[in-house]
Amino acid sequence: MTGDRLPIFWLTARQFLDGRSIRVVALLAAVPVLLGIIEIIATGSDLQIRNMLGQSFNELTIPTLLPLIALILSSSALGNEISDRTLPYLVLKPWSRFKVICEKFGATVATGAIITVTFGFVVWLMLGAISSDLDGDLLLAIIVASALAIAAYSAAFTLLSLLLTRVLMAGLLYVLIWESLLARFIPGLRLLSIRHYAQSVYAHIIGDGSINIAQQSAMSTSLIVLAIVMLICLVLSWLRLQQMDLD
Amino acid sequence: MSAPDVVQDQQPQQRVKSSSAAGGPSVKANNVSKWFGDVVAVSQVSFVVGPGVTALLGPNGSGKTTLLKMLTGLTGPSTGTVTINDQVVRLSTDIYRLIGMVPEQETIYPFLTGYEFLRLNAVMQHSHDIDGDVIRALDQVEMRDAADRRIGEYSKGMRQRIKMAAALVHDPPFLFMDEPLSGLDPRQRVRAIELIRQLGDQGRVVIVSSHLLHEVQRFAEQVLVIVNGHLAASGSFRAIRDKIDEHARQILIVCSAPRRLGASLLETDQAISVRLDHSRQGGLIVESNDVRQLYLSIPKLARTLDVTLYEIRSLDDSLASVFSYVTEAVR
Repeated sequence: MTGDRLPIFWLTARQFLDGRSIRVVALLAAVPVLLGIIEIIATGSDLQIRNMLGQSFNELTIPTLLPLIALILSSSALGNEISDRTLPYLVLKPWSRFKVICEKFGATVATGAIITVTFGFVVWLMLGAISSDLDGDLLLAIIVASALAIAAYSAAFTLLSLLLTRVLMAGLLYVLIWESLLARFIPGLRLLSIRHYAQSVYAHIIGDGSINIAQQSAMSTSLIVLAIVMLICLVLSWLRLQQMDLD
Repeated sequence: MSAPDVVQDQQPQQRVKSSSAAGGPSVKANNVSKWFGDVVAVSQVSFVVGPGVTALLGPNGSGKTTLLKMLTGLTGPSTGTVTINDQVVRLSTDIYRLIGMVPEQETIYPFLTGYEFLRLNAVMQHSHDIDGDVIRALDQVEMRDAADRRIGEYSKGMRQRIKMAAALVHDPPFLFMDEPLSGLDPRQRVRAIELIRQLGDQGRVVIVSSHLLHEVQRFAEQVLVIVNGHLAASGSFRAIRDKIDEHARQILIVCSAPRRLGASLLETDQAISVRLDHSRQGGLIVESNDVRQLYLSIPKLARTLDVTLYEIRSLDDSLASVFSYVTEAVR
């Protein structure tokens, strides 16, 4: 049986499919599709379409939509399990709590990435049908940056869901105030945001200079920082889960 | 727990005298306390529990659930240690191969079928025969027919039984059950009590929390009485009952001639005092320290005196009153 190797991963994936959160996530991921349709209706030149898609992913999807998607999924994966008191069914087992965290995180990232990449691909196909300028690099950049951003944001929100009871509220404040506002416009804070490194990766993969990121970090730096953020958040989540008193 | 002691001394570390056979499976709480801010939920509790069914008995809010969570490692003690087979429970992963837990909360993954839920538990317990273990556990709680239905469609009693099956799926030597009879109908309750007794008879260490005295006496030979977070008494159920019976208790009698019956009761050895209950017509309150004999004497006396009896009941047989008898030392 598929669930026998990664039981918590599959349990969490089924939790997502059964719950409301997946529908909200799909709606958020569909926003770029909606924008794409608007662009087709009001289309100008091929160049405008490519710019529109590239800029909307950089300005809207990475700093706002992806963290919101990660927040909704992460809070469902662990936060709901704490609040409805089903977590003891998983931790009262000969199963390391780090494994519990990793499988929950893995299911969150896989679900979030599949949905966002699928919708990103749909937008690319839609706009590609009327534009000869859309290339594989743009699609690759969308896929890689989406997956990395979802993973880093999910790790941060997994930790947050173990630290706070009102994780959605705290996460929204983080997304809207920190990622979308402060870290965007205050130069010093850029280097402390997940958004900045995800955008840097995105701009590097496109590679034609059409996406300008202030204080753009090197590709290797961006990848290392995102990996470190994930690792630190997952280790802290594990330590927190070890120390928590569970109902 | 071998020695049937009712212990109420003031040294918390010495409260429990009973212990398992040397080298046998045991759960030990050593001077365990738990507080949440200023609220003390459990205070300096020590005991050793061996094979058989032991009831964790106490009124609601007495600290039973907190203690049970500490015994299973869900909650860490503020001070003291909990060990199972001399291994510290908290943060130990391997110990969970030995433990089955039936939590109090009703919520279980509603989107899973009963079979899938048990399978999840068997997989996480590294079962070598997953399907065999699942079927055995389903049969133990008589849930095989409902195994393919989603848990969200289960009644409260069915959810309770599937939780018990999940705790039994890996055949653990230690079982912790938090109010396992809650939500069961009378027939299911009888079966569950039978199952709990069987599990104890098989040599497992079974600790069951309950706030219902009449329920506990049907499956537990040993009792740990928790009141206000303290271990108020421990030992065999019979010893605790005897302790309770030593205390004076009040009986309400409603009859056609309360003065005549009261005067006659006072002449017996069973009544310490009698007084009329003016709140109800024909009411008489009798205080006795030998209630069993009193219950036998009342009908005989009434027949002799030609008094009609309408009602006889204990005024303080509630669990709270019973606890007050056995917990004087604590208070």
